[in-house]
Amino acid sequence: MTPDRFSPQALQRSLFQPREPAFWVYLVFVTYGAFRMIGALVQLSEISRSGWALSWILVIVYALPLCVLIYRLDLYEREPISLAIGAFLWGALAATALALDAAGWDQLVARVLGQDVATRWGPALTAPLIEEVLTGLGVVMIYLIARDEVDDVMDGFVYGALCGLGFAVVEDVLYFMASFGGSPAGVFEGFYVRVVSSGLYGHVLYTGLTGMGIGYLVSRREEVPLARRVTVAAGLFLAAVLGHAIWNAPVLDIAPTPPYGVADRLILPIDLAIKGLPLLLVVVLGVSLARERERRWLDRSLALEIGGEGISAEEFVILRSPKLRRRALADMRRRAGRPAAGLLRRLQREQVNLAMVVSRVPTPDDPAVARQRGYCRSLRDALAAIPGASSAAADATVERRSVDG
Amino acid sequence: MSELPAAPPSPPATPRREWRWLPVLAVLAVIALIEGGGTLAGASATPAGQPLLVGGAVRIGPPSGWTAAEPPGAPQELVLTRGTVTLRVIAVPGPIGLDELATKYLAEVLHPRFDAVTIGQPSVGSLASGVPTLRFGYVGVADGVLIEGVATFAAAPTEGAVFDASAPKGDLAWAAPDLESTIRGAEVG
Repeated sequence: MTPDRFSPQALQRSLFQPREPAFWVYLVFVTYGAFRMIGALVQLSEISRSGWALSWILVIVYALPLCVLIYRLDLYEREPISLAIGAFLWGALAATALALDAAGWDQLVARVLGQDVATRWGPALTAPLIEEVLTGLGVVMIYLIARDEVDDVMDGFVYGALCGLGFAVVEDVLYFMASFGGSPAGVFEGFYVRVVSSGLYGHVLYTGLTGMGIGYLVSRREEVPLARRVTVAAGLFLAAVLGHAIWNAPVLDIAPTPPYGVADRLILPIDLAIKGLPLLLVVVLGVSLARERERRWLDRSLALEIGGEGISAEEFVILRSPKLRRRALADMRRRAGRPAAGLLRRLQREQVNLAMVVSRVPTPDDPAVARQRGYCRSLRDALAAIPGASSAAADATVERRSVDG
Repeated sequence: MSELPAAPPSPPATPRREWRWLPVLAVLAVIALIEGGGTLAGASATPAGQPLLVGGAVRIGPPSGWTAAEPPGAPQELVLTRGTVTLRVIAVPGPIGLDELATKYLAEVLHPRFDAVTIGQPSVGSLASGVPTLRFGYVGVADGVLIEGVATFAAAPTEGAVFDASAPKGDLAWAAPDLESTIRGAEVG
């Protein structure tokens, strides 16, 4: 059989690409970062083992759901898990280790501008640029390892946000142990200040923004001239650096200084929102536009397929709405059991893959499209063979009609 | 449930035509610029691993990137800096208890240095050599700038030592691994 380079499996690439030079460079830096950061973090456990363990528990409690949320932002074409984990590891290990090693830049600021200026403005001058470059390189590495997987602005955001989250997780543990004393009480204090009060505005946003720029730069080759793509990417990167610099700068600080009383704790999130909210709104707007664009991509790709072997008109309406998809899956689970719901989820995923194949083949009658249509049909047939599944699907359709009015 | 249909076959990855090394080299150049620039910027620092003696009683070996200076008129003191982070090491002659040392330092150094200072919960520990330590974090405001610090006190049978690490808000965390290894590896007495 002739290998099909347009099959969904061929179109989805993993992190493990030994033929790509970028993969080996990635591996070297992440391995170095693992040694460097594990050594540094274990050393901090000497301050307080209970505080250290609590730090990790708290960051995992907040990072895990955030990881899932970021990953699920991409409505139709979820990124390969290995690449998503790869982006997170770059941020957590490689970017943090390289940031630690680049501390000499602070010396330069102190020498050039004087110790007093460095003390006041140093955190706003060096860290934003260095850290945003290092975390942004994670998205570049993911792109160089698996170019086809960064094919939209949303993909760039997902990989960027995961890089930023990895960086934030390690940085938070450093802060809890060093700046907040490392004792369990200090760690809880740090968690309140850095995560509860300001967790929405940090590295996830900054690197997400940089990632969107990289996504735009590499995925709009056929529509947008190079100069404009470079301008947009550079603009988004500078916005991330500026947002980070404003966050670190001694400006707009209305919050009380520690120790925080009850009233201070209530004021703190408001103060931090003044600095962080504008950038958060920019990113929310950007993500909304990117999702709308993805929806248009799905509509365009499947326009000629609706009513055919691969996807029915009813299935398409459910597929393009995350809310209806969730409802259909829940209904299938209730009426026909978990295996049936799993099969329906797989059918929906393969229908998205059908859109992906259609959008990448040179002609609509490419054998890869026919094969994918057939695969979707066979999944639908398998689903229909499960007792209760057909009625669940029919009910979902009726329910959808009533929702649509 | 009947057996699920098999997915369409997955072919081997296709070779790429473009020259794949060029962007990778660009990435390496950016990393080299950041890391090399950082190294050059901190070039005046004390060589790594070179042991430094403070007041004839405290021996420390700071990692690379730190600059050591003895404040004028204070032979018992050494100030290590890296950018905005400062580690003040003070040798305290004679036998002295941890609580006494901490109380004295708080009253004579920290309170006068800041307009306002808040002390965290103290915790006990030890240096790698087994000398007992007491440490607490603090946050102070000096000239409108929020300074974070961690003061560690060590009491050997014949000598005492103070290790006071401080930096503007946010900078201390990234120096924490270096500070921790320097303080923990210090020899007192």
